[in-house]
Amino acid sequence: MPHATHPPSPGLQALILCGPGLSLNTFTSTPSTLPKCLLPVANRPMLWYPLDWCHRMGIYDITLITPADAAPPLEAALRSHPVLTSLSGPRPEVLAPKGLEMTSGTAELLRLGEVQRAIKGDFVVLSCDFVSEIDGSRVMQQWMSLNPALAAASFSRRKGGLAVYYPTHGREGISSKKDETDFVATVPFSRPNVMPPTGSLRQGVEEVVMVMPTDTLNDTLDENKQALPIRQTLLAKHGNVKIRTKHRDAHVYFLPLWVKDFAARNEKFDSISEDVLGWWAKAGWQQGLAEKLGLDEVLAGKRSTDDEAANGGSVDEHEEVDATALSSTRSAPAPGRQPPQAFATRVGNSTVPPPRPKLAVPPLLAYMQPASPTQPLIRRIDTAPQLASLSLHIARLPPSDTSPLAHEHKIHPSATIGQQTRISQEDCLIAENVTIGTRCNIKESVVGANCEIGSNVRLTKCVLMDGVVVGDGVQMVGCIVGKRARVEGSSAVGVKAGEAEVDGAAMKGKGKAKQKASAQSGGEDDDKTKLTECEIAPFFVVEAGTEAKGETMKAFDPEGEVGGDEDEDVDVGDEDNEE
Amino acid sequence: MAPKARKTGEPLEAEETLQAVIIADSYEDRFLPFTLERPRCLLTLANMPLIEYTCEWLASVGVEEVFVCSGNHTDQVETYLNNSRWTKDTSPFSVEVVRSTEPSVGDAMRDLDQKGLMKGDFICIYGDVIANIPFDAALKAHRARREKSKNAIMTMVLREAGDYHRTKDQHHRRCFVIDPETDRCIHYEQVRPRTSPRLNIPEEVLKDHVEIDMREDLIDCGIDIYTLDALAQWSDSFDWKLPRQDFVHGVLQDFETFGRTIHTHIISEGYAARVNTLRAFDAATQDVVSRWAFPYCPDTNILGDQSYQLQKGNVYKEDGVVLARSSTVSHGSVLGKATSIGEGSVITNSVIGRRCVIGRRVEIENAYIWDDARVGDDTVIETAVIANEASVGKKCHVKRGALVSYGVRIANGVTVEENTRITRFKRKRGYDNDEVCQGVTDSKVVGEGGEGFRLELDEDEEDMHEAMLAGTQEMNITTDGDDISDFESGDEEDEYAHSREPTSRSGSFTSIASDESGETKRDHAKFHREASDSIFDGLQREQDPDHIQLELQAQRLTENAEDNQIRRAVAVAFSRRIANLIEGGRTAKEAVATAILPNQRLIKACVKEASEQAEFLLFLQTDSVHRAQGSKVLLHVAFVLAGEDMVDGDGLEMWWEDPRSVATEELKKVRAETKPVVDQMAGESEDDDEDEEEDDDDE
Repeated sequence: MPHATHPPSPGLQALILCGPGLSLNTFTSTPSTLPKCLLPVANRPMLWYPLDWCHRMGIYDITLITPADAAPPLEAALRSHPVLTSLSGPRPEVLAPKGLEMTSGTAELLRLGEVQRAIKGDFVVLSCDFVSEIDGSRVMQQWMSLNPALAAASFSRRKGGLAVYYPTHGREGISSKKDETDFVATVPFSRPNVMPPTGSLRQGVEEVVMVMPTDTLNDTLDENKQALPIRQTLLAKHGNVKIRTKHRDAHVYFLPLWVKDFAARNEKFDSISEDVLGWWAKAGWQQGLAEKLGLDEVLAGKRSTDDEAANGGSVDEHEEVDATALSSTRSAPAPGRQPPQAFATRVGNSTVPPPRPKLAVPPLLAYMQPASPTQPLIRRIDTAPQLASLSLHIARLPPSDTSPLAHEHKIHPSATIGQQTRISQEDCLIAENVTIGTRCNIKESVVGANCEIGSNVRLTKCVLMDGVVVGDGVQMVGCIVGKRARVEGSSAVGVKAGEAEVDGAAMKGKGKAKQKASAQSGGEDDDKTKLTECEIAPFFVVEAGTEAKGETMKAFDPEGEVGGDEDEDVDVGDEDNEE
Repeated sequence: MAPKARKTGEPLEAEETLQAVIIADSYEDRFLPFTLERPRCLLTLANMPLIEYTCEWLASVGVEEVFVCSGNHTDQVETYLNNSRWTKDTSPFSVEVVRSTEPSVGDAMRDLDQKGLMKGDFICIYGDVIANIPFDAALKAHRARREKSKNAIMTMVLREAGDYHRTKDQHHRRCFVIDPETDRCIHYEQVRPRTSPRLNIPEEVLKDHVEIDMREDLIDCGIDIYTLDALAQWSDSFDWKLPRQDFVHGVLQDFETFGRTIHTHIISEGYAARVNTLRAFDAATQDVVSRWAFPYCPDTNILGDQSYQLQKGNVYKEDGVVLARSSTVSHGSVLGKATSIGEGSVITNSVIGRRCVIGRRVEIENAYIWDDARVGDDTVIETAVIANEASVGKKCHVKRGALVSYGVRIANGVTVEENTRITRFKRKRGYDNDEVCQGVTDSKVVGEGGEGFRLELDEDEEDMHEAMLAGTQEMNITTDGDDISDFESGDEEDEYAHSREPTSRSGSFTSIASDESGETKRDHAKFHREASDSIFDGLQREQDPDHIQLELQAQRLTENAEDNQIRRAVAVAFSRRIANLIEGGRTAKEAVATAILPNQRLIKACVKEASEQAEFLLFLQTDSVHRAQGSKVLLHVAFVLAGEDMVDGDGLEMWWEDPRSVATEELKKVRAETKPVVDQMAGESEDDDEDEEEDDDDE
């Protein structure tokens, strides 16, 4: 792997939030066995992506925050999963705070004592479902290089924050109209005196003035007769406000230490993205809001909790030095001095800022990725279609690609492929120990480790997670098949001895499967299993001859979930095998 | 021909002649008192008439035909243009003056449409724009859009500016909501700070566009590229008056129905400013002098007869300037030809026209002194404007924001207070003929031997500030601190003020007499103006009262006016007639008798009930506030009305007790003399005949 040398540490710590994955519940209904962060995305556990991203920018101080339920499998995976163990550097710490429920909001999480204690300096908050081709260090570079300027802009001399937003539209194969979006209003951050080099993200960095999820926006619209009220003070302060409705919060935040206190102080904050950032952004221009949120005291450095002082490891936040003030080529306005007069229009924006309010809130910046197919990919995987489209996107990357997400082997050398089987190399990904029968045709698909695929199987745009068994003659288009699920083929020939180990729980699920298709086709000679755009839950068995389209197949039987506990052993054992 | 072209929708040709329309009439009175005597576009900025800047820019962008729409002082505009280089053979374009007497931009546009002068896309610009922005790209983008869609009917050319700059309009924040992808303006709102705390962005706007920009930092100097379709839109909607509030807003609202789009072209380089307020005048002058608007700066010597040379510290001097050895001219000053500065005078950051005579030990700072003005020894002039041929005596002090109009003479030793407007002329109502007549010199203001009087602006407070030259510093404070909110009022866009211009006097009326607003207010103002004009006309010509009454009735029916409007019109007309007679040399008593006695029927027709009588008196009172000898006139009018049974004791009493009649100090003052009449009438309303006789004797 390309981590021969570690980049110098930027002195940041990362918090990766390993949440429950509600919107992927077909695959994550039992977090104690398969938490969201371990779902495979293009044959790697989801968690690998943020971990690798952090490592690439030199952050090794990583804390995984997870509900207590999901902690054991997470730790087991960190110890034993080949992909995760292949990551260099110290193993991330798993923190399962007591009060953390599956339903806890992210800001609530920040307020928990354990988490508060764990944060010792400026930190990065990531979500485990974050996948990015963009180099984290480039984003971090913006945050770091702009910090002195940010600190200078606010009299409190505190650092600002940086969030990342990516466009959900304009990318073929990945963008979908159903993608979650956020409403974000930004204003241009003051233009640099020297143009940033090409390729720098500086062009995309803007200051956030309003942010809310689209759901909240819709509520607001409903309340206000289908109109969004914009406060005058915003326009009075910022003449050029850009509103984006098709961008999504990547849930990557570079935050200074004081945000911890800010979150701790405001009990009502529920989520980081909507509340912490939303109010912070507003406090920048709404008069009196910052005081109301206690930002004045937070910025003045008063700690809300005393245990912080007792904690010897806490790093004091240093005041940022305004380096530009020391420059001899440009005279920065002396702080506090009133601008003598307004200038002509051509002088531009940078010259005379308005007299500042008493409390200057450090700006919240955001890297707004432009919408263009050539931009590196940033995505969050929180729905099954996204999981599929992203897996397929990674599968399309050639092995030599510069993208950090590319796999070394498109078809792993340990895979066994039968004769006359055609696999389109350029858009497929076949993992270790996969067995594929004869005369198969596999296009645009990802096949996970230890999958067994029979003969005459056709897979198009499918994602098979680990250990999936596919019988002979099965045709699948656009399906996502969960771990160790089984799709039965046309005849008993496809059933191998090895599959006998599939336990009773899965067999129960089978009873619930829709069988009308098989009943119809039973008499015909062509009783192939045909699945189109289906989601198949882990350990589920699809009976032979099933024809289905757009269905989610999962065991509804509560016993099935109880049975999941038994599977755990199998699960871990499976991973042992891989090693 | 133009309508035909529109119907067939001829494809645009690249070589078509580029036409431009200059709206030379500002339809407003922010430059009062200067615009009483001259059109705004001929006011000089850095010693060059404003229209020259506009024409120069039009020439630079390759315009070949220019139409100058003028309503006010058209003769002056015509004369000026005929003598200018724009009508010579060497002129890059042909100039035609289009007379239009209508009171708004909308009417001028409809007029243009009817005349069919426009052949294709054209530029529409105000006659007070100073710009050196590049235009090719805007025109190209506009034409490209037209190729694609016929519905793209207009392009607004806007200059991007910072959030804070000195030409920024503090009162009317224009907020453009733009889709950056297509440059389409999807929403336009005139934001008035603190009157409406929120700007509402409609849902469709948010949902239909991936990205939208809310821009409040754009300088809108009214440079638009119109298509003939856009012109036709003006004609289709006869009530549109203002190019932004009505036209843009209207077209955007009808987008769903007609699909017409308005686009913006944002330019980020070059200079653009509209000189639409005195503060803008101040700011733009500074910009020109400090060379932001290059090549439009004095030493370019754009006019053939100019000979400015730039000297150290942005001081521009023309040939033949006479400077006393001990005088100082420091940074940012412009001195015109044959101007002389006396011993020991200090000129700082000021523009002085040609042939001015500045005395000794004079201090002039940030002032604008136009051609042929004289300033006496030991005078101090702060940020002020001294217009052509005005003269300021010795040892005077002209304070900040004072405006001294054409030909005014200020006697020695007079202090001109802040934000005073001194003029020799005032406007008489009557829109079509727009009489401007000489006012009575007020020696309190200009001193003994001076000439001129103080012009009161009875506009809304907001407009007062709009019309102020030196309010800049205070304004800046108010935009930042939220505490001061005195500057808000009125529903009008800036140009609304113009359309009400002739009724400025009745403007204050409205505020007293009723709580009308917006649309109805304007309708009423229009009716009031027309009705009172025609009554006044009738009175002036001593027509038969029945005849006047008939005419009034006709007007009332067409305008669907209410009774109180009629009373107001009648009251104002009588008041004017009386003032007119007094000016003609009659005493107040004679004037009142001459005006009212033969026309009793007119008053009786509209004043019957006691409440109506009170209202009528209130209108009279309010109008008298502005009149010479107002209190005396009011006394006599009250007396005559009572004597001739037009009002009775109840009416008088009601009026006297009406809180509106004591709303201001001026109102109280003007009615003070009338008190005995009211007391007597109200006290003994039964036997009023005797009282009157007694009163008569007293007189």
